[in-house]
Amino acid sequence: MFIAAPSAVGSLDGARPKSRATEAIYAAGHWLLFHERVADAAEVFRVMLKVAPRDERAWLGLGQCHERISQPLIALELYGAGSIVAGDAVASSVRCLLARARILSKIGRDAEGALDEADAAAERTGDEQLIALVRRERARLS
Amino acid sequence: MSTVSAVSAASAVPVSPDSPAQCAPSAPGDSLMPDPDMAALPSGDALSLLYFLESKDQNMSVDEGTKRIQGLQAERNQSLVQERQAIAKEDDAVKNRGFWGDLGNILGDVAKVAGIVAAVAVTVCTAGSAAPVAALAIAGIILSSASFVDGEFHVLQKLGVDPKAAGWVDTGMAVVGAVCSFGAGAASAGGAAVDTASNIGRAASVASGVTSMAQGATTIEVGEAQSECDDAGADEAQAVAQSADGMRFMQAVVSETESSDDSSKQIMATITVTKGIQNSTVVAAAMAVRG
Repeated sequence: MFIAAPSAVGSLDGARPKSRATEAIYAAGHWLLFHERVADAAEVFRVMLKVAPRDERAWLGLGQCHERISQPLIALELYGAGSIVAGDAVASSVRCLLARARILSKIGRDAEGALDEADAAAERTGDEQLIALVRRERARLS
Repeated sequence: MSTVSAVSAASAVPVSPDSPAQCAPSAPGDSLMPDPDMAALPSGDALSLLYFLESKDQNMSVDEGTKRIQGLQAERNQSLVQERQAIAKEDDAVKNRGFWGDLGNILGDVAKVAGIVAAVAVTVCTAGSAAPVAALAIAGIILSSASFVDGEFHVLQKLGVDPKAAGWVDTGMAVVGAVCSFGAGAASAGGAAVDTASNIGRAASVASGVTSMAQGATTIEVGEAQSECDDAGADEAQAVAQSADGMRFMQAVVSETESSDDSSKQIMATITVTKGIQNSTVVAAAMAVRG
């Protein structure tokens, strides 16, 4: 299971505490995406990007929308930008880096570098959940 | 109207019918997206979501973001005006040039758009303040919305841009994407913002170098074309048409940004209306309970 526990969600972007409004936007986008309303979800995640550009979930959500419509390269760029913007002073966004690794693997490119970056970023955060997430992902992609 | 239906109405973009397998729902355990933090909401119902979207904090964030976006749009619009003026001048000169000359102009447009977003990426990594972060978010939105619309509906062709020129739009996006990717990798590996900015700057230079090379090639071709075929009345007509395509291309990119903002406002406006309905409903229910 790669989904973070709700208690850990609030600290994922490492930049600032998430507002309830941001949570509501994300919840709406998440609901739309998982009910296959991909274009609607994309609209919501774009709004979230404007409201909370440092929140990695906005980049992950929008990237996933593009993955769903077979646009992996666009998703790749979004995850790449997200890994910069959503990261903090300590480390880049681990989840965005992992998402990049997944896409790279899917399109037949070497994902090891991205996994290494995610690994290093997770180590820097010291978050056991993220470290475990990277290990699982590495095992999955290997 | 519910938020969901409002959002649906605001978006006319369907999921690609060509990729049914990609549209299948992912297994929840397969997603890197965290679950929504429902603990932050009083309940998981849609009406509660609307309520919180109406919160003051949200409005402040949106206002702040809107101001930044408007500032950026003003810059883009200014660039567009300048671009139009430059293209108008080129139009005057184009009658004396051939097809290849105008091809250079189109490539220049692509390079310019790519350059704008590359510059944004550099700014983000150099300063790291809130405004450039928002700018990169907007670059991501452009990347996303332009590809959704153009990829799914071929809007540019409908605007009159021929398939070749529309393909160059994708080239421009790819150039932008390459810059962003390079920056992401460098940031993670180096960890220093200055190095990242430097790397992105180099990547941007490479990107513009590629288009400059293409322009250079077309410049050479201009000479050949002019010397070989000044009989090209047909070429002249095509060149004028292509110049117009260049303008449409720039306008389409700017419009994409604007329409993205309009969608945001539309969603927020719908939420406001729905909040009003919710309040009325609560009052009516309270009165009913009191008898």
